[in-house]
Parts: sequence; structure tokens; C-alpha cells
Amino acid sequence: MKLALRKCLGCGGVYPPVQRDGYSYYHVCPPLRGPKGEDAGPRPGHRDENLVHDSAGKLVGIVAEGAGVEAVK
Amino acid sequence: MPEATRPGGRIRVIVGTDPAAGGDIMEVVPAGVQWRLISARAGLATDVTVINRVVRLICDDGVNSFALLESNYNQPDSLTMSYTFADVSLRGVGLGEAVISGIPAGMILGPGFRFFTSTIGLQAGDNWGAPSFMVEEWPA
Repeated sequence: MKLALRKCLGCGGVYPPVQRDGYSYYHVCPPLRGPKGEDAGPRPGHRDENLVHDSAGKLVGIVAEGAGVEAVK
Repeated sequence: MPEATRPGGRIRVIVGTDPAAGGDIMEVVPAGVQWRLISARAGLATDVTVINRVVRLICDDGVNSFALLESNYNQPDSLTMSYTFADVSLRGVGLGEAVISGIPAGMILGPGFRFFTSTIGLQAGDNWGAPSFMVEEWPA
């Protein structure tokens, strides 16, 4: 079974949003790197797909949409 | 008893994000779960730039690193090598096209913790493939 892929327009990474076991994968863009490999803060268009719930436990979205995504064909 | 110390977590093999050329791999433990990192594997294709690359795997809590695991292998230009980090006593052993390095057996990672490569000498034309990694997963 070929996994459907999605491309992050923030970092250019490609990933399967749904894994072979049926569970979701929550992409997070890596930070920018400084000259010594250190974190240099979030990149422009930083995406974080971790889910956010309100105080009642209702799903309200993801942490950061960032630059968005596109389907990979 | 904390969930992550109980036996019987769910064993999962996860395909992670294939970074753009010139970028390192980074994976983040999602909200709501804890992982024990059992093994991680990915391939690195180097471009024609004549310089050695040295792969390191770093674990942190999102800010502070608590493990820096170096492959101890110099990968030259124009070569594709497969890197595996697992609970083995070998360190940086090149077996044909594979490099095997150790990670601690009890590497428990909480929500928001990260593991990522930090490749010394990585060039803009170098290309990591998508990582696949095995974890034991519990609710956080």
C-alpha cells in the first residue's frame, strides 16, 4: 500500500499524514539552524500540526498552519 | 506508576518527514503520547562537494539536549549510506553501505521532545531520505 504524501510549504518536507497503522502523523517544521548547528528560531512559514483543544476538550485546530501544505502526486 | 514504565506499550513503526535537500531530519513527539525510541533509520545521499560529513543524532526536550549520539563515520562525497541508530554496542561501524550506531535502550521521550540529525559538513545538495523509526508508545 502506497502512503499518500503531503508536502509542507514551510520547510519543504514530505510526509505521510496517515501512517500504515492508521494513526495520524503530526508534522512539525525543524527550526532554522545557525552556523554551528544551533537552533536559530522558527523558520518563516513554520508549521506545527499538533492538535489544540479548548478547556472543554473540543478540538479547535492545529498549533500553527504556517505556509500550508500541498498534496504530492 | 508512570505509563512509560509499564510493559505493553503499543509498538509502532512510523515514517517521518523527508526533509528538503540540505536539511536535517527532525521528529517531534506528538502531544498526548510518550515514546521509547527503539530504533531509527534513514539514508543520506551526499553531493559532489569533497568534504566529510559526520552524522549525529541529538535528543532534546524542545530546548535542552540530553543526548548527542555521534556515528563516528566520515561519509565522503557522492555516496549514499544508510544510518541505523538502535540499542547496539557497535559504534559507527560501516558495513558496506550501512552505518550502525547505538542509542540507549531506555530513551523515553515525552510530548514535545525531539530527536534530530545534526550532520557536520552537510551541504546544500546533500539529501536525507525519509526516516523510519520504531517506538513503543504510551498515553502521556
